[in-house]
Amino acid sequence: MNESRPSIIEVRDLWMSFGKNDALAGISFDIPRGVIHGFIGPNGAGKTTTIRILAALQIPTAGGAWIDGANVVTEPEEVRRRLGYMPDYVGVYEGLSVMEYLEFFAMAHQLPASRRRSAISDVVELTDLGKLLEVEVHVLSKGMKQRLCLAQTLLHEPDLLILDEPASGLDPRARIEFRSLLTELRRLGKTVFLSSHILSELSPICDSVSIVEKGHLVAHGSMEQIRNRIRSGDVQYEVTLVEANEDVEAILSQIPGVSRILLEGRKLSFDWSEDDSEIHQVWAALASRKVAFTRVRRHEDDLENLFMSLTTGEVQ
Amino acid sequence: MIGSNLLGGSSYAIIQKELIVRIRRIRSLIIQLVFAAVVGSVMWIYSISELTGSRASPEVHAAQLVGIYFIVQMCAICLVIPLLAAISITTELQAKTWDPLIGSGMRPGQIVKGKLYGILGILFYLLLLPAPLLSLTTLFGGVSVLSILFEYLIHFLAATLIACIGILSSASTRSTVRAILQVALCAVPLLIIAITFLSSEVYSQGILLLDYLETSPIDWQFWAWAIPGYLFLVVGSLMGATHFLSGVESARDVPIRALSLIIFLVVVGLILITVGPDLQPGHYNSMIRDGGRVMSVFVGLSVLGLARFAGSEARVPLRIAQIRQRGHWTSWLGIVFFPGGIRNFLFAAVLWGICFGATVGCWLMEYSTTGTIVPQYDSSLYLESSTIFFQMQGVLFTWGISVLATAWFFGQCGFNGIISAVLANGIQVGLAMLVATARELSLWSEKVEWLSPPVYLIYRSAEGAGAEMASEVVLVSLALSTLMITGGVLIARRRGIPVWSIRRSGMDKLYLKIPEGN
Repeated sequence: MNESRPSIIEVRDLWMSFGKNDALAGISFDIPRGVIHGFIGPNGAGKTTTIRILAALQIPTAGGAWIDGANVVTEPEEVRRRLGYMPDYVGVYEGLSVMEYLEFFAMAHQLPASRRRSAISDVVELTDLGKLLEVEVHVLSKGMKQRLCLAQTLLHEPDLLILDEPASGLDPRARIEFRSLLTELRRLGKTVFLSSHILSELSPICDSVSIVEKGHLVAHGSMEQIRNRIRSGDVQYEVTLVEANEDVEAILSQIPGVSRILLEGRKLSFDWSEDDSEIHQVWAALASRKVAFTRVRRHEDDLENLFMSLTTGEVQ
Repeated sequence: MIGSNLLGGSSYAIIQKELIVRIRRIRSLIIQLVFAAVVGSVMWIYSISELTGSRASPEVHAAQLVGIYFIVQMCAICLVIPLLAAISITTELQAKTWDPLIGSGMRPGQIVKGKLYGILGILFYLLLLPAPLLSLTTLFGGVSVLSILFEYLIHFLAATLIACIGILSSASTRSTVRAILQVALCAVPLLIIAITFLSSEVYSQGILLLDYLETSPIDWQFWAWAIPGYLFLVVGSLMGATHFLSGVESARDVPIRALSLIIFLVVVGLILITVGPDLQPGHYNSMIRDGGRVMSVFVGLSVLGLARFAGSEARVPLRIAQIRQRGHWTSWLGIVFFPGGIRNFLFAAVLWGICFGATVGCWLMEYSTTGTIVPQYDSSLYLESSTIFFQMQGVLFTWGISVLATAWFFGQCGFNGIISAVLANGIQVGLAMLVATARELSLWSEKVEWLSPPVYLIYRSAEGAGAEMASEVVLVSLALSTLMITGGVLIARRRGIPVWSIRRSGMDKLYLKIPEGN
């Protein structure tokens, strides 16, 4: 691991052309270490192409990408040693048990015989596959197959995991379990780069996201940075009052930055255009007039709203 | 552990996986039982009928029983092995397990090797499964163990060949159905020929293969061609499969070129051993006559294939550039075989030159012995015919170089190897037709023949060996070669492709330039 590099993934002007069609049209971004990064976009946006390039399975038409300093084009073996890649479709070998499947990939990763058993037991414990070791792979549920595939990618202890649509086709329970597994991996210091179009799955766990559309990067950064970028200028607050009070509108209208005041019974809502650090003026004004309230809710833009704001829905 | 060390960890993993996946299934057990039952039934029925009705000696019965055993085995081999080989690569691609395999760091060559060993492991198991049935031969006095082991060896070699061809089909077609059809087209004729030969020539005589070879020895020339031919098919198929599975940016051309060089050396050597210099008294100029003619036909045809190398993709494959950039010692050792740039032309020209070098060498050997062995021979006549021979060789050599240079030119223009070779050879075919037509219609002067040296040589040969060769034919070929190489270099420079150096533009920064117009 090259700790001196702040970014574990560096992508510069990445182009991928299939004939006259540019699947990727010059995207650039950096991913810092130890985060869960969501790579989102509509179908045909270039997510899988980017991931296959990062996993050194495809050579870009132009541009460059580095995994922990290793160039995906010029040092593919080094790249494969440094990352674990899970494709969007989990292919399994009929007839192999879970244990045999993991042993096979441990040998394929050229782990020394002395390390194989401990590596397998570590990933089995992490992915909670212990009770299924003797079960044949093809009878596992989709969720368990995903776990097995993830376990396989962890065998050689990579610092970076690249997961292509890991939650697709999973039932709600399996999704929640898989999500907590990813959070646990982040806790262990792994960087997780995952693509998905199920945005509600990414929102709670992602530290940062990239949004791609038609081969272009339309947004990249932490959730907060992206929210700030597309914010119209106003943040909506909802306040639940202890009792209805007609004076509230007059009180708030005197505070600079407050607009669109709406009072419906005990429900008060208003837009705030100033910096969030100045919102205390509103609470102080209400308190000075003895207006009691029980709940304040700041309307966050969730990932789905951000996605809809940033993309046009056009397909290549 | 020992196996792992011998075979390499990744290949060993594939073998282990293949054996578990193939043998553990219920249907595999059923196939084994049916196979053993069929072999057992046939042998049992034959034993009963022979014990009750035949008057042949017990030794003949025993040998025929073993023969039946191996014929049934061969049928099984030709059914099972093509199937296993044809699905070997396609199942990985269709089950989408290929990407995780490559992602784990395995190389296509390791996977191909592992697949072959896995198939051979299953074959070994299948061949030995009904072996206890051979104890039936003890009813007739038994058969030599050595003869049985030899039969097994031949079966194993045949199965290995079919397996290699099957893996090649699987890798090249990437479709199970097409791969099965292709392998069947190879295996079924082989099966028919083998069964016909074994049943009519060997087993019907009451002997086994080893006895047959002892009683009817085969000429050494047969083995001299058969053994390299077998090795070529086996190794070539495996290398071909690896070639298809590796990307165009891999180093896949290097082993192909190394194998081609070996094949050329072996084939030229075999031709010369078979029809080459005859140093016996009274056989003084075979190189000018038969041997030289065989060699001329070989070199004339080989240029068609060599144009494929000369016209290969002009850019240095990325993997080759990576190897060279690291300065590894193999990058110096293998520099002759590295594809890209002018090396494509030089490699083809070297192979082309090997044939002529061998021919000239043999003539010199003959010439050095003829004077002393046949003193009464008119050496001036010999020298005259030798001069004509060398003129012909010179015309042929320079023509071949011009074809390779033309193919190289098309490679620099951006065509792939096959298209470049087709274009270069197509031009030659066109010129030959033009010259032949012009001559038949007496439309142009004789100088038109210089445009197609092979046609020119054919006409001169028809006119008699003593006909003087026009040096202009050689000059036309050399001029064409120079023109094509110069043009190729200019086009390569315009396209930004290095002609000599082994590198890719922009490797130190970005991989390639951003496409124009974006």
